[in-house]
Amino acid sequence: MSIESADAETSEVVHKTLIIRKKWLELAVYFVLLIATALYANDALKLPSYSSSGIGASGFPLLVAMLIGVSLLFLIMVSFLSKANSESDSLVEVSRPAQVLLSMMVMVAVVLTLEWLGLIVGIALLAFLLMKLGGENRYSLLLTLPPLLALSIYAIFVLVLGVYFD
Amino acid sequence: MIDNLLIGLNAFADPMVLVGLIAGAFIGYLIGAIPGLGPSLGIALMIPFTYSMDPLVSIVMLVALFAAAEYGGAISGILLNSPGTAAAVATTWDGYPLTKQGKTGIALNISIISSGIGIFVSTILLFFTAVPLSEYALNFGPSAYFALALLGLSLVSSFSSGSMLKGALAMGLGLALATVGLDSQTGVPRFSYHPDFFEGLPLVPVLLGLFALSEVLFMIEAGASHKVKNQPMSGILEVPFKTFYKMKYLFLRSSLIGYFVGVIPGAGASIGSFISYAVAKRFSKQPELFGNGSYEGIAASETANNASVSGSLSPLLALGIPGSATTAIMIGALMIHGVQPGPLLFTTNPEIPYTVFVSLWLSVPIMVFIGLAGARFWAKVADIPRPAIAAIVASISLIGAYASTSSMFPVYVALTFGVVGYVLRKANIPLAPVILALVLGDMLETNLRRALSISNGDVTTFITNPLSATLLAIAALSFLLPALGLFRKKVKGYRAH
Repeated sequence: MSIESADAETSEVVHKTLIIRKKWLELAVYFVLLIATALYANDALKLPSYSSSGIGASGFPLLVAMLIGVSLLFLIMVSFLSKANSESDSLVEVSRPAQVLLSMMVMVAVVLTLEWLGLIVGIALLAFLLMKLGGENRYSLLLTLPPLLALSIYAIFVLVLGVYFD
Repeated sequence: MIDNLLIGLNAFADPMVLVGLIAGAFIGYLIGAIPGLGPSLGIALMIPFTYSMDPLVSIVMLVALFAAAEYGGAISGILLNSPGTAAAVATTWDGYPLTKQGKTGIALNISIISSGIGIFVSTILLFFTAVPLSEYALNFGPSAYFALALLGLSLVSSFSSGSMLKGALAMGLGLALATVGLDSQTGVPRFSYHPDFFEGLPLVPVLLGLFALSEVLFMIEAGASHKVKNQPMSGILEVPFKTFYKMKYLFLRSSLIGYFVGVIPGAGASIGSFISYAVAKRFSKQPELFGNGSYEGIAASETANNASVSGSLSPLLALGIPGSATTAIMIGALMIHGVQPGPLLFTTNPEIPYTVFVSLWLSVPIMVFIGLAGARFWAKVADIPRPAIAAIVASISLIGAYASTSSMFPVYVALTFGVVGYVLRKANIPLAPVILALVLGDMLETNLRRALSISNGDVTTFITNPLSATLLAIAALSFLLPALGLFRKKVKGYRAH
C-alpha cells in the first residue's frame, strides 16, 4: 500500500491517491467475508433443522453459507495462485482517500444528530459538507444549493408526501 | 387480450397517470443524462417519492423513468464522449465523432427517434410474448419455480462479472441477506439481533445504500468535474424522413435483438446494443463509417438498448423473475405497493401489466418530444457539477430511507450498505446479483422447502420433473461454460509457452 500525490483536478489543488495492490484488497475483503460467513453458519446451526413441514429454518441458510464459503475459498486460492496480467491490473486506486473517509464520517455524524439538528439544517449541512469534500470551491454554489436542496426536500417529503419527522 | 389492453388504456383517463408518465420520462432523461447515474440508481432514488402515490401512477412513472433513463445515457455519450450508462457505450462510438464534425443535433435526433422505435416495436413483442408466457407459467409447481429463480440468479451472476466466482459470491451474499428476519414458514427469528430485523432487511434502504450512497462516495473520489464546452444543436429538427426509412430493416433487426437479449436474465441493454451494433455493421453498405460517425451505428445501438427495456420487463411481469438490477429494483417498488409480479398478475390485477404496455407505447411520443425540444437543456444537465449531484443523491437517499418507515433504522441500514457497496465495487464484486438474490431469496427458499415437503424430502424431485431438470441444467451450464472457457484459455496459454 502506498500513498502518492496526483493532480486530480483542473484546479491547482494536489490530492493524495491511495494505491493498494488489488490482490491484497481482494484478500482482505474475502477474509472479512469468510469470518462473517463462519459467524453466519454458526448462528444457522443453532436454528431448528426440522419442522412439521419438513426442512427447518436452518436448512437454507446452511446451503447459502456453503455457497459463500466455497466461493470464497476458491477466490482466495485463485488470488494466491494468479499473476497479474499487467502492472495497472494489479493496482486499485482510491483517489482523495481522506475526502472519501471524511464523507463517510460526515454522513454518519449528520444521521446521528439529525433528530437534534432538524431536517432542514441537517440536510443543508450534509449537502454543504459533501460538496466541499467533493471539491466544489465556488461559494456562490456552496451557499445557495444546500439551503435550496434542504427546503425542496422538506417541501416534497413533509408537505407533499406527508412524511412525519420528529 | 384486446379487452385487457383497453383496461390499460382506460387507466390514462386518470390525469394523474398521464402526469406520472410525463414526470417519469422527464426525470429519466435527467438521470440518464448525468454521467454516473443510470436507470437502477434513478429508480432506487424515486421509490421514496412513490410511497404515498396510487400504485398505478407510481408504476407508470417508474416504467417511463426506466425507458427514458436508458435513452438519457446517450446524451452525455454523444456530447462528452462519456456515456451515462453502459448501454450507451456503442452509441458513443459514432455519436461523439458526429459531435466533433459539428453534427451534434443530427446525432441526438437519430438516437432519440431510434430509441422511440426500439421501445415501440419491442413493446409489441412484449405484448405478444408476456401474456402466453404467464399463462404457461401458471402450470409451474414449486420445483419448477425454484429452478427458474435459480436459473435467473445464476445467469445474472455469471454474466454480470468478469469472474463467475465473484458472481456466485455476490449471489450468496444476497441470499444470506434475504434470510434475515422471521422465517416465513416457522416464524423462528433468524439472524435478528434486534426486533427491527424481524421483518427482514428493508429493501429500499438496502437499494439506496448499495446503488446511491456507494455512488456518492465514488463521486467524492472523482472530485469536481470539468466545465464542458457548449455544443451547437444545429440540424436537430432537420433529419429527413428518408434517413430513417432507409434504416427500416435495421430498426426491426435491432428491436428483435434488443428485446430477446433483454429477456435473458443478466444479459441486458449493454450486451443487446453491442450485438446489434456488430450485426448492423456486418449488414451495412458502408461499414467503414462505423466508429467514425455512422448514423446506422447510433440507430442500431439505441434501438437495441431501448428495446431491451421491454425485454427485461417480460420475465418480470410474466414470471415474477427480475433479470437485472434495474428490474429487481422495479420488483421491490411493485411489492411496496402490494403488487406481486408473476403469472397470477395477469388474472388478478390485469390493469397493472396492460397499463405497463400502454404506458410504454405512450412514452414514445412523450420521450421523443421531451428529447428533441429539450436538447439544449439536456446538454446543460450533463454539465451539473459532480459535487452538487453527490450532495443531492446523498440527501435524497438518506431522507428517502427515513421516509420508508418514518424511523431511523432504515437510515442506518442505508448508510451501512453504502459503505459495503463501495468496498464491494472496489473489490470488483458485482452488486446486481446481490440485489437480485435479496429480492428472489424468499421465493427460492419457499419453493425449495415446498418442493421437498411435497416429495417427502426426496431431492430427485428437481431432476424427475422435466421442466425443473432442464432449467437446472441451463443454470449449471451458465456457471460451467465460462469455467470451461477459462480452463481452455489457460491450457492454450501453457501450450503457447
